[in-house]
Amino acid sequence: MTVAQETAARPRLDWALLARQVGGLVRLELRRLLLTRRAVILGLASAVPVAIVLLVGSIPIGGQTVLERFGNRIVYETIFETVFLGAILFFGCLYVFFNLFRGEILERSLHYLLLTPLRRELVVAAKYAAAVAAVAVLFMASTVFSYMLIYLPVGFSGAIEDLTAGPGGRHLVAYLGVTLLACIGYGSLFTLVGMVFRNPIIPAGALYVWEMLHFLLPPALKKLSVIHYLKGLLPVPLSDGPFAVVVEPPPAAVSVLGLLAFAAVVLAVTALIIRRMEIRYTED
Amino acid sequence: MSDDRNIVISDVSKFYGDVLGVNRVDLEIEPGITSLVGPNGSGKSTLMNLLAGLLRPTRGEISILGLPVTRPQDLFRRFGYCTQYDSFPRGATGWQFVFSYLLLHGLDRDEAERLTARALERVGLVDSAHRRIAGYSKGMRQRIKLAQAIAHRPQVMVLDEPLNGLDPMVRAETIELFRQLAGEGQHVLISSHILHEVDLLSDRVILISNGYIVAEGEVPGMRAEVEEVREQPLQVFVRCDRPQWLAGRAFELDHVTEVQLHDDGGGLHLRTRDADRFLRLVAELVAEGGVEVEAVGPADSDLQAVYRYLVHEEEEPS
Repeated sequence: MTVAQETAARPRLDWALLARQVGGLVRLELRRLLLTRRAVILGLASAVPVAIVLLVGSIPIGGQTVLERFGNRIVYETIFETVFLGAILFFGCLYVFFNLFRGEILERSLHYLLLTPLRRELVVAAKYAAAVAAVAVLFMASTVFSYMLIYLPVGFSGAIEDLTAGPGGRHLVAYLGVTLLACIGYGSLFTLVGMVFRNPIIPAGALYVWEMLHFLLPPALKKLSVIHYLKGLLPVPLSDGPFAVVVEPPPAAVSVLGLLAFAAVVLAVTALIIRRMEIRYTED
Repeated sequence: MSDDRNIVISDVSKFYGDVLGVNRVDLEIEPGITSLVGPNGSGKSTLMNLLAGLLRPTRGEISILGLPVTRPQDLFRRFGYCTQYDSFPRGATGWQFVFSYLLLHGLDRDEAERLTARALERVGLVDSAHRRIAGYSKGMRQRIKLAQAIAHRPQVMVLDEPLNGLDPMVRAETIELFRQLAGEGQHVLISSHILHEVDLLSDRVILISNGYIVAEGEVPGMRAEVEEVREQPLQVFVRCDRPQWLAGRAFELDHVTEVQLHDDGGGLHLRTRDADRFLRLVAELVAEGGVEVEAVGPADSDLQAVYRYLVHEEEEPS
């Protein structure tokens, strides 16, 4: 029997084999992400919100800390929305996902992956899943630690009471969900950007301006920004200022499913691109 | 022999925009050692990248053992490719490099470890397996790429200039490894720009020049053709820092019939009946520090020039 006949006789999909292959690639990618310099930079970035909440919760100004003066929920929401969602998550995802393929193209090592018996679409899916896992673990840990620090003024027993009997637990889950969805949404977008662009500055800059100024956009265009759906899931509503075009936030289910569908479509486009991709490093 | 046991390249062309990579290549390659020989830039790597699916042909079709190159899930269980790229995943040791890509074949860890150890042993890198590749010599990097390409025991191995950078002893061991693999009934396709480097180990040779296959056949016949054209005059170019001085030295040789300086003053063309002796002179002058040579090669693009060039490479001291 020739190889072609033997191949044709095999079942089209061997799920156990596929799982081992994809698992192997996910582990390889996780090692690349978590055991290299990249992890140190991400770790430092994810520590920023923790440090900020620690500062506003421990340094008294005029006899009161900022947390005590303005209320811990408002202060945390402001820090989460402006610093974490508005900068750390965006740029952290840009750093990791833009380099998911572009980094290997620049290192001239992508061909090793493309010479393995894995469909290229699965290579995209496995690398993306590993990157989401790595980034989400770091940033969700940051969310948990920084959130716990808002209980500095009320102490351990106050924290337990709010988390179990009050709204604290529900809020924490919402922040964790937004963090995860931000990683999924921005991650897919920057994976695609990394496949298409050699230099991230212009596309990332344009996306950042679009996302940060989304509150000025007319309602129809707001729907084309990731942050519009993420903000709709935040537990404490904050004003976007006097110039904002105010619209009703989308229902939570629409936000969650919409972002997941968006990520799936963007990844499908990325997979189409990599299917047709040629390895010509000299052009990169 | 059935197509399903061979590498079949049917009317394949590849253009990079307006630039020709390879044109109208028709080849059927049987098991054994086949060498793809041609000057630098002749299209060897393009053809190999097309075989591996790293490039897409502008026209034509390729099948390997009856499998299309567009189905990596089938092809790369049978196909190993050692590319020209001297690059590796950052921070990897030799062991990690071979082992981690074996896991992507879906092997369990024990089997992947066994195959990694076997591949490293075959290329003689057992002692350096746990050192980072970044600290390897050029020859070691070449061998670890080879180990990665053969680790999953492919039936077809495509090796782009695999003997580059190897010292004579390792080169001999590597050639012996190729013979063993071919003896096991596998396809071993090797590229080189030096005919002499590969003709003794090859079952057949394919000559490529400027993107065209100019000759193919079994080695004895090819050598006879090469011998026939040896006596014909050949036009050679040299790009160097002292073309006028080199022209003067060349005219002292009785076999040099014509010398023409390049308009930009950075080189010369000459016609010689004995390019071997001329190239030996150039090598001596370079060794003495009399001239710095940037490039030297055949200026004609026909088959004869390719043969002549390859024969010169063969006889040039390396």
